[in-house]
This record gives sequence, C-alpha cells and structure tokens, in this order.
Amino acid sequence: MAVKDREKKNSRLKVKIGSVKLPNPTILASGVLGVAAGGLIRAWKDGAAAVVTKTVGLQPRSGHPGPRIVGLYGNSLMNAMGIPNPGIEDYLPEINAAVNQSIPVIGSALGSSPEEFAKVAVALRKAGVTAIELNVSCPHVGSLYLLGMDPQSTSAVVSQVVKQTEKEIPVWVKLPGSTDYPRLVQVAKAAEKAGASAVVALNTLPALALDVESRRPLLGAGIGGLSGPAIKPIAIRAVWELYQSGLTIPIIGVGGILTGQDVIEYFLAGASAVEIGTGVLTRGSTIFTQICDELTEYMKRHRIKRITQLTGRMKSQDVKT
Amino acid sequence: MTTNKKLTPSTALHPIVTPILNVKTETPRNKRFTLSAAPIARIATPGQFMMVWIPGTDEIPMSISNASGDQVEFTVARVGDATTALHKLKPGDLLGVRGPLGEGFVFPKKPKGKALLLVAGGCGTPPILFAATTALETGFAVDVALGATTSEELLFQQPFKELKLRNLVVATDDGSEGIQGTSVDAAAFLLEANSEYAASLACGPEGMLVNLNLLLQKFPIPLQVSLERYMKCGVGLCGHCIIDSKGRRVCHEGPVFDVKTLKNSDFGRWTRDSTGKRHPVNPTDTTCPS
Repeated sequence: MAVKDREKKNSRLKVKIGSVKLPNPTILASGVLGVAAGGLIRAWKDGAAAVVTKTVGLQPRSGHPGPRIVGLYGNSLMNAMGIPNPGIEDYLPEINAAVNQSIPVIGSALGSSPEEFAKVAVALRKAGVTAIELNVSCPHVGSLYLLGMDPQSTSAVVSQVVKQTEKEIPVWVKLPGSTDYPRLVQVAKAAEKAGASAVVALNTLPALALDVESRRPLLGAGIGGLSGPAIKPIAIRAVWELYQSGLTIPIIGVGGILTGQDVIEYFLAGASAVEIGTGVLTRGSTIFTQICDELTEYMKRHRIKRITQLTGRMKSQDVKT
Repeated sequence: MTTNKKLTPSTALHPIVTPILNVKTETPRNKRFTLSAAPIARIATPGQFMMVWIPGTDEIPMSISNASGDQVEFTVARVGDATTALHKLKPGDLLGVRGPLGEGFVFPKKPKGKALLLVAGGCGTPPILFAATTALETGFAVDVALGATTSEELLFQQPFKELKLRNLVVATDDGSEGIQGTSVDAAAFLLEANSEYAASLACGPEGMLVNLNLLLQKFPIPLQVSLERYMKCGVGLCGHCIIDSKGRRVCHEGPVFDVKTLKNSDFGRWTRDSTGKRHPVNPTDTTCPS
C-alpha cells in the first residue's frame, strides 16, 4: 500500500512532537538499519513515520570487536556495537538520499564535548534533518553514558547545540537506560530548561551476559546494552515518572515495543510517540505497518478519535508511593 | 550440560559454544575446521553462513563448507587479525557459532536431466563444495570451474575429485596447474563445449563475479552469486551490509542473490569498511578480500 493510502487508513494515529508533525507515532530507533540510506528508506516505506539515523560523530569510529549482538530469552537482545560510524562528512550522502525522498530524518549526534556535539548538529541541520537526537546515553561507550546521567553536563550539551543551531531545529535528548528514576527526571528537566524540545526514554540498559562454557562475556566489549521486551516495564516506568514530574516537553517512549498494545501502554504512561529498534529483528521491517494496523484496531474498538487523547491517561489511583 | 531447548534463544542469535573437533590444513593459506553443532548442521543449506566467535578476538562471518549429521565445517584463509587468531586454534579449543544465517543458493526444480555450472574462485570455494555435494545428492549433473592463484592454493581439488562430478576444470592465475587464468576462464572453457545449464552458482572475489556475469550474458543461464560485505550483527538488524535503496542486507536477504536483482545495487561498485564508509569496488581486483 502506498504511504499516502496508509496515512488515510490510519488517520487516528497522527501525532505532534512539539513542532514535528507525524502521520503515526512509530519512529525507527537509532542504530537499527541506519548505516545506509537504503535501510532508512526501507523502514519508512514499511511504515515508520520518521527514521533516526545511526549515531554519528565528527570522526570515524570502527566500533567494538564482535560479538556485537547476542539474543536472550523472549526476544530480548544485548548489543555492544560501539557506535561505528564513518564520521559526519562521509555519512552525509546517506542522509541526503533519505531527505531527498521527503522522509522525516532525525539526526542522531554524539560528541566528546558540547562544542563537538554542536558541530555535528550544525552539519545535520544543514543536511535537512527534521530534528536532532542527542545520544548522551550509549551504555557501552562509558563517557557517553556518564554524560547522560549528569544533569549539568547534559544541560551544557543541549545549550550549546540549541545555540549553534539558532533554535531553528527541534533538539531531542535520548535518556540513559537506568532505574534511577529521580535522576532521569533531573536530567530531563535540565534538558528542558536548556532548550530541548523532547526527551526519548530510554536507551538500552547497561547489562552483562556470560557464556558458561568459556566463562567469558558473550559480547566482544564485555558489557553491553540490553533491549527488547525485558526492558519495557523499566522504560514504561521511566516515561510515567517523567510525565507526572511536571516536565512539559513531550516524551518519546522506546524499549521493547513489539505490538500495538505495547505502544498504547507507552501512551497511557505519558508518551507522545514511540521509537522501535529490536522489534525490527522480531517482526521484520514491516513491524511499523503491522503496529499501525493494530493501533487503528484498538482505537476503533475503544471509539477513540485521536491517539494523542491517550497520552498520560493511565488510571493512576492504584499507584501507592 | 543439558539445556531445555524450549527455553533456549535461537542459535541465529545466541552462539553454540563448542570445542573444535578437527582442524585440517587444506592449502598453505586455508584451514578447515569441524565442529559439533547439531541445531545448525541439521538445517544448514549451501550458501548459508555462520557468525564464528573466536573468544577474546572477534566474531566474523564464515560460509559453511559442509554440514552432515551433527557436524558443521567452515574453511577459512588467513587474511587478517581474526583469521590469524583462528588459524592458531587446535582441536579442543572453544569456538562460538551462530547460524545458519542468511539465504543460500536456490536449486532449480526437477533436477533430473539438468546440469549446474558451479564456479569457485579462491576464498569463495567453500560454499561451492557444499553446493556441489548437495546438488549431486539431489540428482543434478554438476560441472565445477575451480580457480586459485597457484597450484598449491587450489582449494578442495581432492574433495571435488572424490565427488561424482561430470566435469572439473581447474585454472590458476600463474598457470601452475590447469588452464592459465581465473575460474571464469575455466567456466568459459566448459561453456565452449556445452552451454546447456539450468543455472550457474558462484562464489569468489567480487571482480570475478562481475566477470562471470559478463560472460554469462551471452547465454540464457540464470546466475546466483554469493556476496561478501562487512557484517556486524549477521541477522539484518544493524544495516551495515545493506547494498541497495531497497535496504536489502547481504546477511539476511543474501549472501546469495540472483544477479538479475543486483542491477541497481552496490554489486561490483561499492563496499563498506568497519566504520560504514563506502569505498569503490575495484572490478579488476580478483583477489580475496582481507
């Protein structure tokens, strides 16, 4: 089905993330299919409303040695890719190829300083991306994870990026995978104050898995990031804590989404959109279309006109704190 | 240790860690490793591959050169750090294997009376041995064009001779054995005598595959080629080995492709390094990548 027809069929699914308007709430998460333009285009043709690029820095990175992924029980996954990327200059052709097809591309940026983050963001903006997502939270690149757990450091990066991009482009902050919810709220509020337009919750969680025959970690980098259904309740809790903390910028939920039901759960907890990564492995790249169909079915069954009406509508009287 | 299979993640995603049963030096550069990995061996088809984990070093994609019973084999040239580390291992040392991964060769239907032209160039020979074995078992007549740099680097000449091939034509770059030239020249030699093939299946350096495709344009013989690209996850998630604007991945929709579907792809044109940066493929380079 053509993208236009699909949008008509799923008209109840339109969302807004600040100034960014999308025909449905599903976004391809960073690090999945995004090395090449062909992967970004594929995810969009298969239903993603927007696509986040591979995280890109100023300099090329080869990433960690393998194994870089390992599957666990129940469709969960660990990875330690180590953010391989060719550097912004050599990655621009991939972005251009996707932007030229009018695909909403979210540029994922990393840097070793606020200035470096800003330089990458400026280049991404020039390439025509719809928004910038700051990766301050990769759990297997040590310095980055620490950055995203610190409100002041995150604030410094966001301020610099917002300033250098002349407040002309939405800046999203991808929060670290963590169960330290008060800290996540502090970081999100610091990001909001510094000018961020949205937060993305959460990145993969720092984790470890071992092979008992060799007694070695199963990933080449030793430690890695846990994703998939295992982290969904943690990310849902984070979204809910952020939503009821008084944060006013939108929250994009990410972690373990496989079905439309999972997306509804994120919305009820406070999300305005979602990102999907590991689910691409479980259901293939058409997971986006599949989920949109499931969402539309839910909306019709519950007679809800707009999915945006569900954000934060969890019945929270049962929560004892 | 006995494990509950129902609770175990797919062997495509989680390695089977198992001791090496046997290591055989096939040529000065190539060694063949045999492992016991029943869940992979029982379902692997020719052209599929495994991600092989050399603990403490790296995890790299390896074509399967044979699978029978519970045992699976791969054969690898010493070309870089990971393969050098692999070549130092002995029977009893542990390796991890994930697989079988990707899509292998597709054999034409109704084999009776049909012949296949298998073309193997140097480091690309291992999956062709597996394909030849399977094709013969299925009932095809099989011709193999086998090429290498020199006589001593000719891989699997003996195992091929032990199979009931219809023809085996050998070529070496330096002319030290067989025809002087590449496996494509050996294929041309076979085609001169008889061009009645139901399909051609090939694996080898990209320049060789490009040349073979050019040669076969003159004949109505569908060609399947097995491609090699830098792979990171091996299961289609990371996108490092994407070769076209449709987002097809060498590790998932490949590594074997019908060459007709590769017209608007990176085949013969572009490849990526470990960072994801694109580099032009040198079509005249018919040596194995490192």
